[in-house]
Amino acid sequence: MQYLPYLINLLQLITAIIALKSYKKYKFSNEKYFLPFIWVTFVFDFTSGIIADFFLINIYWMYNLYIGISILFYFYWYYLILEYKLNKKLVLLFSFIFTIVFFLNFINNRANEFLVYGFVTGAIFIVILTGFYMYQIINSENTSSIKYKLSFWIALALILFYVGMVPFMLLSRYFNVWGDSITFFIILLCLNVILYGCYNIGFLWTKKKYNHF
Amino acid sequence: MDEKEIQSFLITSSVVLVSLVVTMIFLFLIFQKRKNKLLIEQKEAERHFEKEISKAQIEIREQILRNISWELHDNIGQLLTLAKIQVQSHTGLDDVKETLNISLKELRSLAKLVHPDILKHKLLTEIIALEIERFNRLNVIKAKLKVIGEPVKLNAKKELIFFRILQEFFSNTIKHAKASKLYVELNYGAKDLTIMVEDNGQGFETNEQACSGIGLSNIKSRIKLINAKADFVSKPNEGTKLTITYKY
Repeated sequence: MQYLPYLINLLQLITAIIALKSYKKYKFSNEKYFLPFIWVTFVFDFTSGIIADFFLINIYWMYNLYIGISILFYFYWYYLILEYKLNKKLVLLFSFIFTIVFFLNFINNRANEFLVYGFVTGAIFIVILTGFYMYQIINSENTSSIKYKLSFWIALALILFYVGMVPFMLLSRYFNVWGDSITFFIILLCLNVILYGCYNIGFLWTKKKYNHF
Repeated sequence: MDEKEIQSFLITSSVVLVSLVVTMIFLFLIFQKRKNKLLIEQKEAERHFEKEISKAQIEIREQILRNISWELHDNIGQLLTLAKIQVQSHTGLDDVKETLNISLKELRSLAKLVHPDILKHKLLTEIIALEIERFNRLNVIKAKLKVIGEPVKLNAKKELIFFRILQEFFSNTIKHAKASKLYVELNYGAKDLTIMVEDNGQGFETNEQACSGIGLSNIKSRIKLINAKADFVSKPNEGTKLTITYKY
């Protein structure tokens, strides 16, 4: 049971390798930042897991910080790819609100546990931004070649992951079983499989000529 | 696992699953709707294209009929009248023969020009060459055609549109421009075809509303229809020049 979370690290590693191998297909697009991002995610998640398991140090504060930064990274990516000015302004507003909520949640985190409210706020914002992005690509000229666009698969991964994560986080908090139950880990693993599965389909399926816009 | 834990797991997993499924169905429906809309638009565009093609076809035929009537009246008719006068005034038989020979030659050229299959089997360059030849023969205008590169057979429907655009330009040049020279250049490049038509007529202000009256908007909409690019340059007393670029 203790080592099961490393399955998620394995998923991250596979995704990072596939992302590296197909890098030349998307190196001119805004999705190029996902390569270092996935590698950093893997290295960070893996080392923090090892530190927690073998040195028995509570590293939730570090983990929380990382979650906050990764959500801000997604915001930044949406800021780059969303075309309407109003949408870009909303990204800035969401980033601002999220940073404040997350920071307040962070400094009030006496029990040193997972930051549910900060996370849920960020997740809801990501779902909204993904909705905007989906609307944008549906109404673009390239609807028929959408499956070859990496950004579509990343957006799909994000919306499915965070739509699942929000009720998961809130309910696990409510039932107070976070972190010590194998059954809850299974749901978390499934959501990660969806997330990294979509990423990998995107990396494998994408074609260079569709990643210039 | 105790009962409470099972219960909470079931509730959480079903809520997560329901949210995922609802999101997926929602996305699927939106994409499906958009796809259908695109398909309908595509069909609509195809229909519009076919309609325009048949319109151009009718216009070409009308123009050809007009040309025949004009040529019969002004050219062959005149020649035959001349022959009749020659017979009546007892001019030498050789002169009458000569006049009748010219009439027959003109009649043959006309017959060649109005054959219904002309647009189907000939290259754009050949049809334009015939048209240019006719202008020179009838002394309407001094016309010249230059073809650069190896002619490529384009889609028949597109050639028809190109021909109609040029026909309209020629007819404007002859009817309105009071031009004495007409120059046509077809440049078949490796990737695109550039057609340049130029006259030395009186020209017009390109921003004038009058443009629409002489078929400029017609030419523009047709060029858009076949995904070509056009550049129309005209100034009063400096002639008119139309350049069409079309990527194969």
